[in-house]
Amino acid sequence: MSVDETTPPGNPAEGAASPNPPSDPGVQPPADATVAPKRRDLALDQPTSFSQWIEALLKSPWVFFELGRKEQRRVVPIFSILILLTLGAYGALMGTFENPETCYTPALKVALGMMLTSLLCFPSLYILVCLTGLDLKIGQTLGILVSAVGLTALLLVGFAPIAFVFSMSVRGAFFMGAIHLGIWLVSFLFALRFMHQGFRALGAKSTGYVRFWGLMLIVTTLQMSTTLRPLLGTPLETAASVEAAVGEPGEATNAAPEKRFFLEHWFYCLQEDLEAARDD
Amino acid sequence: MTKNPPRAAGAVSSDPELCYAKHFATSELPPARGVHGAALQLLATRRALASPGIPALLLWIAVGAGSYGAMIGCWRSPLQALYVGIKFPLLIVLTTAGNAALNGMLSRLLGTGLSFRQTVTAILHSFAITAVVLGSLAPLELYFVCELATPESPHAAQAHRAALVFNTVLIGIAGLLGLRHGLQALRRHLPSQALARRVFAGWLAGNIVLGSQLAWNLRPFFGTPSAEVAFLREHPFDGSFFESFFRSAWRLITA
Repeated sequence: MSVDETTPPGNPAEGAASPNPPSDPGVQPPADATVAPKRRDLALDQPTSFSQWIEALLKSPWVFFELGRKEQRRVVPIFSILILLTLGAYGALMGTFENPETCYTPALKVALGMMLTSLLCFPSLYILVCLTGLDLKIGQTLGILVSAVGLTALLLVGFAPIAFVFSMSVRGAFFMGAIHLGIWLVSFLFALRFMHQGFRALGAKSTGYVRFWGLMLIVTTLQMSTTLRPLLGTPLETAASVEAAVGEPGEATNAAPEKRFFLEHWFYCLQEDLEAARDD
Repeated sequence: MTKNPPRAAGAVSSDPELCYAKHFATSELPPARGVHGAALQLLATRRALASPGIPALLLWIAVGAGSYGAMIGCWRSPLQALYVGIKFPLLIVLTTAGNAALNGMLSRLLGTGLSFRQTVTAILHSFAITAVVLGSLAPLELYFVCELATPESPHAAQAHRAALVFNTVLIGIAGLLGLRHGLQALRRHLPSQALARRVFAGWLAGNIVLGSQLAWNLRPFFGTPSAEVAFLREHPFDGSFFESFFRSAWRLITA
């Protein structure tokens, strides 16, 4: 992997991204020499094809922390498309819970909603990364964010068969929603772990900022899932209203659902599910 | 008389004045290239020796706190967004200016050897970090404000309370990040940890007291749904934050 030409001297990432880093026996090792061997290991393989990038994301995601400008230009669009496709596929699967015929709506909502959430949280990620003392440029930080969301999306696809089985069996929308959120949370925690380890490898002393950012992204995503409701699809027999999906009597399809905090919405949905179960 | 040998950047000096002077001396700054360089110069703790000057810090405060303030105010109305966008940075600058003399004297009294200018720069640096973190949260704030019930809706009072809680948490976290940076800088550049803590506690206490009262005087920020949009309330100097807090607490206890 080539080194970013604009990287200033003293950048922790400098030299580590080169395939064969020059070794000068007379030169003193850097102050944080403990992370140097790790960084050299990270730079061994340079993915060239799409499949290799995917493999790198799962096996050695560190390469995404040391992307040069050329790699950024290649990886960010590739992974953006990958994210849109995989999240779209997972969204379509979510839509099959109520009505497979209208599953394209949740597909669009999930893909675009996750992208929007990531964009909303990107400025804070960049500032918090600066606070850790790492000299990562905006493009590099964007590359890391895209790869982290890409890893989440890939893991979601991995979980898709499990989600599908549950989608076929579960009756209540609240419980199905909880399963999807659980799957998403596990996938995202893996992505957060990847970011945490990567920042550590680059020499960040404290990764508390990244954990705080992760918490913000989780809260924003949960709120986004409430904003974009219904995500589990609209029942065919009640297509004229979103009553069953949103759980609000008398609300027409063309009317925007009432604005709610996600915890309030979940509580409402749980109540609806429990009442429906009691009626059965 | 022999001169002190030159020290490596980041080395802790036994002479606090010399060391802190280096910390804030503009002649020591590496060039800040573009927004990224300027942001790194402000935020990276390891580059604490490269603190930007007072005008740059004021600019960061204006941009960061101004953008976040505008997002807070936009829930009530665009005019309120403009007002809060001005008032939020103003609150920070007034707090720093109001406490500048006291903090400078306190630093001298506690034996840090910091000059008036160095004290102001150190405090402004902490505030600038808070402001930049808040600025980076502005898109999120806008999203959450859009998710609240409008001021005209029957649930406006509930939305107003939710906005208060949400923003208090976000501003509190951003404030802690700024304070953490300030304490780290003092610890790194003062000879004793205890001295750094004492100076920091003194600055913090002064800023909390004056900042709370100024925030009370500069109300409204969130904009009570039933009240009219205004830059300041009708009698901005009527009452105080602590008086109101004490009365509320007393009512809670005696109720």
